[in-house]
Amino acid sequence: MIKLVSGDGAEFEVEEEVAFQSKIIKDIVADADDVIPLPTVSSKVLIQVIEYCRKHAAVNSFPLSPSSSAAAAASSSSSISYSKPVSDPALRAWDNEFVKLNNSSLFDIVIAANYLDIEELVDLVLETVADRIKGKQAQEIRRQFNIENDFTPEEEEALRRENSWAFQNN
Amino acid sequence: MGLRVSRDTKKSEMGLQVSRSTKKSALRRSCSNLAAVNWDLIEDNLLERIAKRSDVLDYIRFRSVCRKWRSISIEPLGRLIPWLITGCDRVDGRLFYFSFTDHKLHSIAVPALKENKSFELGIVSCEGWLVLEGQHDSHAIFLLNPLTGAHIHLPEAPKDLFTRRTHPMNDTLPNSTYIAGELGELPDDDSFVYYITMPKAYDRNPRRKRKSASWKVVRAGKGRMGVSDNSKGFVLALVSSAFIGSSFILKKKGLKRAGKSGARAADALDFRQLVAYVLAPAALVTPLGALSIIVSVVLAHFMLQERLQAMGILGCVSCIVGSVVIVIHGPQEQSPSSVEEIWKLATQPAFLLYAAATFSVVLALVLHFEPLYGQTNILIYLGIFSLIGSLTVVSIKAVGVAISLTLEGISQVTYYQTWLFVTIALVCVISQLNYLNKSFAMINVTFLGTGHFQYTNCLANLLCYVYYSHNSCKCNNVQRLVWAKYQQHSFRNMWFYYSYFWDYLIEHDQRIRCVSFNRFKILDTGGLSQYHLAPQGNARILPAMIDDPTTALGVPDSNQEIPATSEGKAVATEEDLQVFKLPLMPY
Repeated sequence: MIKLVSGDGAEFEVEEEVAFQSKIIKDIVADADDVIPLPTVSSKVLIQVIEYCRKHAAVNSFPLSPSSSAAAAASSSSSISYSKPVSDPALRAWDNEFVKLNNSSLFDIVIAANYLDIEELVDLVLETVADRIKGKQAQEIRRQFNIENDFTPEEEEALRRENSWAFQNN
Repeated sequence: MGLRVSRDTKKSEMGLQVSRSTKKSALRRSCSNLAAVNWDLIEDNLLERIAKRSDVLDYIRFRSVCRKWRSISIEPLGRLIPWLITGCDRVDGRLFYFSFTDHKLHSIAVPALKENKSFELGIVSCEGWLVLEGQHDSHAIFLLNPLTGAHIHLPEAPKDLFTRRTHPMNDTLPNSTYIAGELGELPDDDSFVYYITMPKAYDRNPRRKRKSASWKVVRAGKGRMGVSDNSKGFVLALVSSAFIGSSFILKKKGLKRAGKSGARAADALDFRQLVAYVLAPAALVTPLGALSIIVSVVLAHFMLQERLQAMGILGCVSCIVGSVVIVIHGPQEQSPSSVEEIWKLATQPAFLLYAAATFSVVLALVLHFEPLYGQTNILIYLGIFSLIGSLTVVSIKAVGVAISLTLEGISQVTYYQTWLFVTIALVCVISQLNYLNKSFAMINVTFLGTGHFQYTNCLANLLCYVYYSHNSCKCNNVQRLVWAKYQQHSFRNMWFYYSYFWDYLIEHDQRIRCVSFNRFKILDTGGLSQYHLAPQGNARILPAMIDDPTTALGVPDSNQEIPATSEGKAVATEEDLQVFKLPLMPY
């Protein structure tokens, strides 16, 4: 068992294979006393991340089929790294359910996952965010993610002129 | 847990609803706080990865969200989810494409299509540029960027360029300046790749630089620069070595005759060697200068009666052996193709450091040591001469490239870097001449020649390594390019053209064809209007779609991208593939 301590002091005991979904934890556990402080991760986020890891650890513990390991090898050898698609339909459905969160929680999770180096979770969340951006006008994206428009009116006009067709609703 | 998650979702959806429906800023702020994202915490690389998941349309919108989003997404459009170009309307000048993200057929007005009817919409594309080819026997090529409307007429390609014109392919080299043309032969040792140089400036201002592209031939096997340039440089280097060698002797003779009355020998740095530097890689030319030692040693022996000792002979031999080793194992560099490129190389920290060090050592020598030991120790003058010489080589190379580019029609006059290099070259050459003449007066030619050679050339070679080291991978890319062409299907582009499938299907009469983009495989099921798009690594072929998986896997690059199972059966379910039924094509 490994003990994870969140930023607000809460302790979480998790099994090794769950914690080892995070490459960082896997690396540091070798020479630590199995209590890992994670000062930048809040309890709320850590609960969600552990939930994800638990689910994925359970699925991933099955031996990989030859085809998926071949796929993993192929994707890791390519120069551009892309997300390794989750092959199990049930797990994918679970993932889709998992990311039904508001933007703020989603970004909290991706920051934590990035910090803990859980590549699959980072990919999952980024994919979700990309999906939420898809097909939306810049104005909508700003509103959805609470981003301030810091272009000057002239710049904005230039942007629109440059690619006017991209701003039409068709 | 599950409950809480769904409540959160509902809340956020409601929040967004409210904020969309109301215009009151106070209310909006409180609502969006609910979903506030602390952007300061989000690392740029995460944002970048989001940007890379978008298609062209989304990417352009992504970039117009705010400055930060714009700044992190500067990578060109080449790695995005591709658009499928489904056809064009030449009468109205419209291009139709299918977007895999919103599953709709879009159209963009591209007036250039209407104005250049003699060009067929090519089968290939590159970094967002479409390649259009002249119809019938014309070898003209026309590049069009449908997003920006920019277009370029390239000069007519060599006649033998399209001997195998079934599927002209292209690819770009990373950081680069090339669009490749067609491969004359399959990539064995004797094959050639034609490519056209494409100054980056095209992107910015295509109209101004219209004339500046030219066709070049690259030998694929060795990955070296154009053969003709290299051999020209080689011959010139040999000739110049002979001239340098003999000019040492003549100068010394002249000086002897004139005494120390102030007569100055002129051409110290041989002009021919400068020309050689222009034409061939510096690391090749410089060692060949070793031959000038032999010439001058032999001539000095006969004409000036300066005898060479055993150690001297040994030194000469080792010089030559060293140069041969360098020539053989020299870095496979490629000459920079524009002054800007040299400038970029010259402003690398390592090189700047070297230049600064050189400059300060020269200053120290000139200001401090020369008055003290200048008349007694030849090393002072030689040191100054050779240190400056190493910089001369680089600036002369830059000037040479500028001249040859300007002669080819790509004017480099407007770049301030050109003039900077000219100035540096002039200053260096003049001061070199000065110090060389001073040292001539002092000692015997054999020693001078050898000493000068060792200094200058060691420095120049060192410099070449510093200067070109990061540049030397380019030629491998040429080989990679050939290989990619051989694969026939490894597009790295976002555009491709519907007719590709037409051609291919007619030719091969197969039911299934795959085309892959950087991370997508697009499978054409033979219906000509149905496509399957699947992320790479997960691209499978449905058993129902094909009877014998190996024929589909026989596409040249498929063994790499489609994970074939050991049983030879494709394992996949319907869910692995996204199936898009395309709307009927406009023609």
